[in-house]
Parts: sequence; C-alpha cells; structure tokens
Amino acid sequence: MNKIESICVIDDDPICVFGIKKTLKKANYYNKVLIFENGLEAIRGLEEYLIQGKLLPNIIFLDLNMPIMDGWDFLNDFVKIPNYNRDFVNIYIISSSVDPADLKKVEEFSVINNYLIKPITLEKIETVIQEY
Amino acid sequence: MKVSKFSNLCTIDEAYVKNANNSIAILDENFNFISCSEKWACNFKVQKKSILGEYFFEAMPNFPMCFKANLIAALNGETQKTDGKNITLNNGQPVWVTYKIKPRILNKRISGVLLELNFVEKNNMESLLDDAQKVARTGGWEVDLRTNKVLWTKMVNIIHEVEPDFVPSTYEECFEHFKEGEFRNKIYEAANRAVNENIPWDEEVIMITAKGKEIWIRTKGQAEFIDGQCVRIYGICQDINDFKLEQLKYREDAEQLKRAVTASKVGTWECHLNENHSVWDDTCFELHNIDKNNYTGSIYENWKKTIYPDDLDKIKSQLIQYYKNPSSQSKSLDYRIQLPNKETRYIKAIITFVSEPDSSVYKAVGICYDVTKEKLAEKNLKKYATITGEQNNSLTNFAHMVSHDLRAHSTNLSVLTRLLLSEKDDGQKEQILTMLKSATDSLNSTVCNLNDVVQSSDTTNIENQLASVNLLKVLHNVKNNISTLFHKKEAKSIFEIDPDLELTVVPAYLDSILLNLFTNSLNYSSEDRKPIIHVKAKSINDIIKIDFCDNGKGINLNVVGKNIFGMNKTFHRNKDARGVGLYITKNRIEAMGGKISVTSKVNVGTTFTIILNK
Repeated sequence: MNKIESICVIDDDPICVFGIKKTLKKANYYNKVLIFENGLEAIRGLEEYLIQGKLLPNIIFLDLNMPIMDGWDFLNDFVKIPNYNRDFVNIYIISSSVDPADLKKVEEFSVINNYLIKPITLEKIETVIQEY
Repeated sequence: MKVSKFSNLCTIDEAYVKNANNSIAILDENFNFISCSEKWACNFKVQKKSILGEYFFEAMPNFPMCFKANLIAALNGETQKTDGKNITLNNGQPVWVTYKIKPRILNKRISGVLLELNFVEKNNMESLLDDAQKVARTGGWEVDLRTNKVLWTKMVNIIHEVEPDFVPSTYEECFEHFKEGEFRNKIYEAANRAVNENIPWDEEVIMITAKGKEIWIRTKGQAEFIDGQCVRIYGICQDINDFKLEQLKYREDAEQLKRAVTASKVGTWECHLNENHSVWDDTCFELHNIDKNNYTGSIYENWKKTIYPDDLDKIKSQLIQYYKNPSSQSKSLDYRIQLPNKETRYIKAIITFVSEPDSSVYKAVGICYDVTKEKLAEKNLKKYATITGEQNNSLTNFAHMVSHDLRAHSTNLSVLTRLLLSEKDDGQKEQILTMLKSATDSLNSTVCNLNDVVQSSDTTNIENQLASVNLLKVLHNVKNNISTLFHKKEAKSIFEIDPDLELTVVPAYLDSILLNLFTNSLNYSSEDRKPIIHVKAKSINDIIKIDFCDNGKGINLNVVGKNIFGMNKTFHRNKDARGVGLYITKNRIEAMGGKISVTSKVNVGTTFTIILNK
C-alpha cells in the first residue's frame, strides 16, 4: 500500500472522477490523486511532471471515450514518453462501454493491465491496489 | 387375186427373207403379209403359209394398235425405229422387242413395208426392272384414253395396298386414292392440264391406301399425243412417306427452333476472323438497334458504334485476351449500348472461338441477349444491400451508443446515490446532490438526443414529405431563430445565393441541418476573431451544391477524419457538444438523396459541402 505514491485518473466525466476519489479514500488511500479531463491534458500534464523531475503515477485509470483526445490516442502517445519508470505504471481502462470491439482493442496494448467496467466499486479499487 | 400377186413378189425376196437370222416380215401397202422369215413364224408360232396374204393385225392380234401409226409412217417413206416395246405373242406371252420398219421400194415406188423384229433378253430385263421398282418403291402406270383402260405395275398395287391384280376401271377412279380435298384436286387439275395442254406434272401428295393408311407419294405424269389428240397419260408413283415424314419433321423442328430463338430474343452471330466478315441474325440487329436493311460499312464497325465508349475499351481488351488464349470454353462479354431514346440496354454476349484443324479457318461464334432487367435488378439489389449494410452499421453504432451513454449515466446515478447514503457531512451531501441533479439532466438530454437519432434514422415515407423551398428564405429564417447566439458572438453572415434558387427537400430536415451547421460554427468559433459564416450555392445540372464556410477553430481531419459524422464523437472542449448533431445532419441529407463532405484547416475554418437535388 505504501508503495503507491500517486494515482492518476483520466476521465471527462466529473461525477465518475468524484466517485473514484471518494472510493479511493474508502480504500484508505490518502496519497496523491492526479486528475485529467482528456488524453491530451494527461499527456501534457505527465510530460510537465517529468520535466519537474517527478516520477510517473503508479496507477493510471483511463477512460476511453473523451473529447479532444480519447483513451486509445493517449495510449499511443504515452508509450512514446521516454521514462525509466514507465514499466512500473499499471494502466486500467475504465469505461461504460461493453462494445466487444473495445475489449478486443485492449489486447493490442500490452501496457494495459486490465479493463474495468464502470462503476468503479470499492472491491475493484482494492484489487487494483493489491495487484500493485 | 391376192395369192397370185403375192407369189409374184415372193420370188424376188424369197432368198433374202428365208435365210434371214431374225424375225423379218414383208407387208403390202394394205398391211397384208407378203412373206415372213422362218424365225418370225417360229417366234409367233404360226404356219408360214397360214398368214401369207392375211391382214397384219388379224394375224398378230396381240400387237398394240398404236403400232399402226408406225406402219403408216413407214409407208409414207419414213423409217421407224424403237429402242424397245412390250408386245404379246400369239400364245399370250409378253415379250420385249426392238423393231425397225422400212419402206419397201419396188420399181422406184413404195409398195409395202419391211418389218424387222429383235427379241430382247426379256426375262433379265423385266426382273431387273421389277427389282429396281421395289428398291425405289416406284411403280409405273398408264391410262389409255381411247379405251379408258388402266395399267398398273405391281409396285403401284403394293403402294396402294390393293390386290395384285386390281386396276381402276374408270378414269375417275384413278383419282379416288388421293386424299380428298387439296391433294385430290391438285392431281385432278394436273392430269387435266396434261391431257388438254400437254403439261407434265411432278407433285408430292398424300394418298390413302386401301387399308386406310395415309402416306406421302410422289406422282409424275405426262401425256402422249397422236395427231393432236391425247391418247394416253402415263407416269410413275413413288412411295416417299419415310423420307417425307423425316423432311416434315426436320422442317417442323427447324421452325420450332427458329420460333424459340425468336421468342427468347437471343441473337446468334458468327464472325470469320480471317476475312473479317460477320453474319448476324435478325434478333442481333434488333438488340443492337441497327436497321439490318439500311446500314453502311461492316457489321463490326456498326456494332462498335452502338457501344458505350467506356465499355468498348473494356471489351476490346477482353477480346484480345480471349483471342490470344483460345480455349474451347465459352467466354462472356458484358456491355451497354445507347438507344435513341437515351435509355441504356445491357447486353451479354457469349463467345466461342472455333478453329478447324485442317484449315486456316478461324471464326468466333456466339449468342447475345438483353440483360437490362437483370442488370437493373442487380444494381437495385446492390443498392439495397448497401443501404441495409449502412443501416445495420448505424443500428450497431446506435446500440453501442445507447449502451454506453445510458450505462454512463446509470453508473453515475448509482455511484452518487450510494455515496449520498454513506455520506455524513452535510456540505458533502449538498455537493453530491448537485451532481445528482446534473447527472439526471444529462440523462434527460441523452434520451432526447437518442430520440432525435431514432427519428432521423426513420427514412420511410420521405418521398411524400418532399417539397420545394427557397434556400435563401430558409437560411434567413434559421438565422433569425438563433439571433441571440448570433448577437452574443458578434457573428456576421454572407449569403451568396440566387434569391430564386429552389430546393426539393423535406423542409423540417433542411431547417435542422442548417441549424446544426450554424450552431456548430458559432460554438466552435475562434477565440481570436469574430465569426463570419459564408454560405454559397451553385446550381449544377440537376443538383445544387451548397458550401457552408466558417472561420472558426477548424478540425484536424487527419485525426478525426472518418469519424466526424459518426455518433458520440466530440472534438472540442464545449461541454454541450454531444456528438450526435453531425450524425443526424448526415442521416437527414442522405435520406433526401444528398451528400455531405467536409474540409477544414485548424485555426482557419471549416467548410461543409452539401449536395442536394433540385
């Protein structure tokens, strides 16, 4: 538990973000939570973060359907970020989509740890934290 | 008196006649016997003396009377000869003879006739004739018109299926076996013409045998005239039933084939490649709309002229390929021809190359037929398949959108209510409630959007709703409806449109399409400049092209290109963008048979191009 320094949530839906934040607290996670509204913001934010000499977040919750830059495009750009601790980042897709095409696409990205269907419940958060 | 005269003359010729090896007789000018050779007497089985001085036809009762004409002619100085004649001996035996009759000159004056008979090997000849008749199934017949006596050879009786010794007893009876009506009348008239005008006949007719069988026979006949008088008619009767039935069957089959080919509208053609010469049947000409009685140049040139230029190039290269790789298999060509009424006819031609190994003959043969109906049906089918495919696609999209959007909201609602229940802090509770309100509002707006999508997907009955509207008027109306937004953004609009330009559209659809484009342009306007919306319309043939340009933020089409008209794609940060506007717009334009496309440059502006029917 203590290993996790920061968690990042990339989602344009404020309610969903609010829910995840609340649930993280319930799971006794009080460290840093980074919030981005879409993929582009997230890429820019993370790059900024690295420039400041900080490490990437340990866990990223990534929504798929977002304006400006969606989850897939974020992943394409993310794997290009030169960073030594990228391999220690666990990425979880969070989506309401039950489209089989999306599930299939997940397999194309080895960086993805798992695909979580919303709502993100306490049980799911606890599993994610334990997996780390 | 008779005797004394005879004895006088007898002495002169005695040596000659007596020693003759053949049958010789001498008659006086009244055709009484003066002398005859021993052979004659022997052949006719008479005592020499008993016939001397007797009248020829009394002594030789079986000689035909027509022989008298020969005797008279000889007496007039003309030598008579025959190649053969059937006569009957006194004992009733028929024989075949050739004879010569010469005038007998005494003291430079014709005083009688000299008769010389040669008996031919009659038995062989007759049996040969009989056999030949049997093989040919041909019989001979004659009618002596003076006696009305009829003579038939055996074969005639066999063909008629009557007793071997039957012969008709009257002239009329000769015609009774021909089938009543057309055939009997024809032969009756032919016989009359022969008798009256000496015109021979040769006809194929149906007769009915004694056993009631209908058969085809060939009948030939001609007349014999003596002193301008028809004395007999004679001819042949041939059984041609098998041959005729075959012939008729063949004719009927050929006729049937021709009818079938004509009815099926299949044209047949042939092209001799060495000579560059083609043969077409009538249907071929009809199919290609070429007047077969009125064209110039070769068929090939005329054929090429009828074909659509695009198709001609295509089939030319196909033909060359077929020609270079000949095989016995048939190949097909599809092409279109233009009819005078501007309609298109689709033709399918089947082609086979035929080469004869022992010669340099090389030709192509084949058929061609009209496949317009099939082609149009196929086109329609493809169109429907495309529409069905598209509809299926949009249904799938729709299902995913529904599942995604509704799930997103329901998830949020359930998360929020759960948090609300477990929250103790009043301030937090207030925050959650505000979120709950916004979640329900979003759900409501999503349901409204879904409803719009459903309605825009229902394109049935479009035809009935089409109406003509004035584009400029509609643009002004739509602009007025969003005047608040227009003023707020300090936007300007330029309409470069003919005030009389009319469109055939579903009016409500056009309103919604233009409204969507206006609000998009205003919502995604650049922060650096005031929005300018420029609408141009151009009439091209049957269509109208509308360019809807703005100077807004623009869209990076490389990134969103194919998805721009998809569902639930939002490309800008505007929170009210739900991503169904352009989807619905595209649906509605296509429902009216139109098209929409987009070009855009980031930070310069976006142009939507709409094509609609007049």
